[in-house]
Amino acid sequence: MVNRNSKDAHPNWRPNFCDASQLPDIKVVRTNFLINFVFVTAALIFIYFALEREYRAYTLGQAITNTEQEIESAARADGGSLKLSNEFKDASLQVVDIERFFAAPLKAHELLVEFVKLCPEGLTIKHLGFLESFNKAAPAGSKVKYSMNLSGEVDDPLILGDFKSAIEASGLLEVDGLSPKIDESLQGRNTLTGIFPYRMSILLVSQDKAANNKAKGG
Amino acid sequence: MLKPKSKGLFIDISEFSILAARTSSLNPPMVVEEIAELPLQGASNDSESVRSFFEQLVDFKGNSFFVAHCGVYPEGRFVRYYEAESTSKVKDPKFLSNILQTEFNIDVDANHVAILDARNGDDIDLAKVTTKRLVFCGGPKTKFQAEQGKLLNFGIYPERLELSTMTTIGGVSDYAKYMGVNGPILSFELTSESAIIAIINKGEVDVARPVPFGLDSIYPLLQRELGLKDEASAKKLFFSNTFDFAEMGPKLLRRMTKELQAITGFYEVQTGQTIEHVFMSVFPKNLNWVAKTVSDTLGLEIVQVSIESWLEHLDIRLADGVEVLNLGSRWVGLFSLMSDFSGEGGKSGE
Repeated sequence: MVNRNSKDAHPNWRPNFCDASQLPDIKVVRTNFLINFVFVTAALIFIYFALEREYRAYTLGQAITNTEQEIESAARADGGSLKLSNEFKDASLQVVDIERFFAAPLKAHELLVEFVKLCPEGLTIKHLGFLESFNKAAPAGSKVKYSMNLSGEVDDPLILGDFKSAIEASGLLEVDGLSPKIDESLQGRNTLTGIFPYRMSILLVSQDKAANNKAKGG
Repeated sequence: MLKPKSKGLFIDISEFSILAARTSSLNPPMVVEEIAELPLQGASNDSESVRSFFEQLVDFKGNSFFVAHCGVYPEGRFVRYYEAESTSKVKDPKFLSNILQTEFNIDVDANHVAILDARNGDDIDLAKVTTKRLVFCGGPKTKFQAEQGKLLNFGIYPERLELSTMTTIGGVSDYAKYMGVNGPILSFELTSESAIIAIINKGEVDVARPVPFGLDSIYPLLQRELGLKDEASAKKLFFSNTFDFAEMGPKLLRRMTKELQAITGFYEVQTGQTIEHVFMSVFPKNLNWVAKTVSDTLGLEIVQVSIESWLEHLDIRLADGVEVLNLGSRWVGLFSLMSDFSGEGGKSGE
């Protein structure tokens, strides 16, 4: 009898007597699924890269947010540090000034006293200037230069030479590494007073420079 | 990717002709796009010419086979009505096998047998059966295999191989319900070796039984009547359109009409109902005189099937150019192969 189960019940009045075991296999090898496979694979790859890109963008966004927060918090601390640094810089300049003051080879007030002591009879000092200068462009060791300018009047032009000799002989200008150079000049006699105005320039330079100057001169 | 929908092919192969239809699909709703007939009786048709007939109807697309739903009339086929004493007996397969063997002389091992509910043609599930009125149908396995092999030779892959006799009875049953035909209908299928008679009442099968002789029994009579040299000449004349059998018809069909009268008379006495209509299938057009002789002799009206409206009710439409008005009842078997009769009657005819 024709086997019957609920799965392959026949339409009403139309039983099927086909003997499927005697039918040839007409199933074709379908390749459409390969095309589908390619498209599905491409779609999956695209989705993967899109998701990966989105994830990277998300993590980068998170990192940016975190960094901005860190920058914001660090900026406050940095501001405090900068303020402190500026204060330190200002303070350090003062320290440098003090150090420079104490590092000067000659003390102005002591020098004034010594000049007065050496001042011979008939010579007056009306003006005494002491100048310390710093030349950045100069070679190392000769960046600092000390100069003194004296001016006044002298009764006799010879007295000025005595004064110069007395200064040189006093050892007042003997400083390590520096050699003194003294130039004096007399101006014409004042016809009203009969005395001579003079100028004296004392320059303390590094010994090398002084030696060079000498070599050039001699 | 869009793939064009494959066409449906339906084939009804009898000894007289091949009726075929190309449709938009294999299941309703569908559109019948083209119908064609290849006469077989008296023509020499080899496999090649039959295949070429199908190739004109459908596009094989270079394939060896075209899938089709087919109806066949194998030799030794049977349709038998049986009413059991109770539904509980029907549930016993051994009981049914015994009935087939003893009452109908049908060997269940050598035959394909389908058991249907006589009320609506439903495929019987023995475990859940609710009817005691059954229809057994089928035929010898070897004959079905031969029909299947023949179709394969034509390049047809029979996805369904139906017994056209049964499918046609289903079609008549549905048509009777659709048209609201009152009273029983005598359905009569006459082929060379046998005939099958069924009585359909209100869409249900009340009687179904074979007649052990067919057209072959007519040829000796015709030979004698006309003084022909042999039965082959008589057969040739019988199928030709050259002779008018109107006068001789009742005499030639006497044996057959007597058998029909016996069956219908018994039915009418048993049920008290009068049979008023007769439906005849399969016959080629040039044997219309047989139907007329039978209807005149028995005093029955021939059922003229209104194919177009019936198909519409079955969700089957006809394409422009498909003319069915003059097809006749022999095409009902083909259209029944397309139909789904499981609905509860569908629309009713006027």
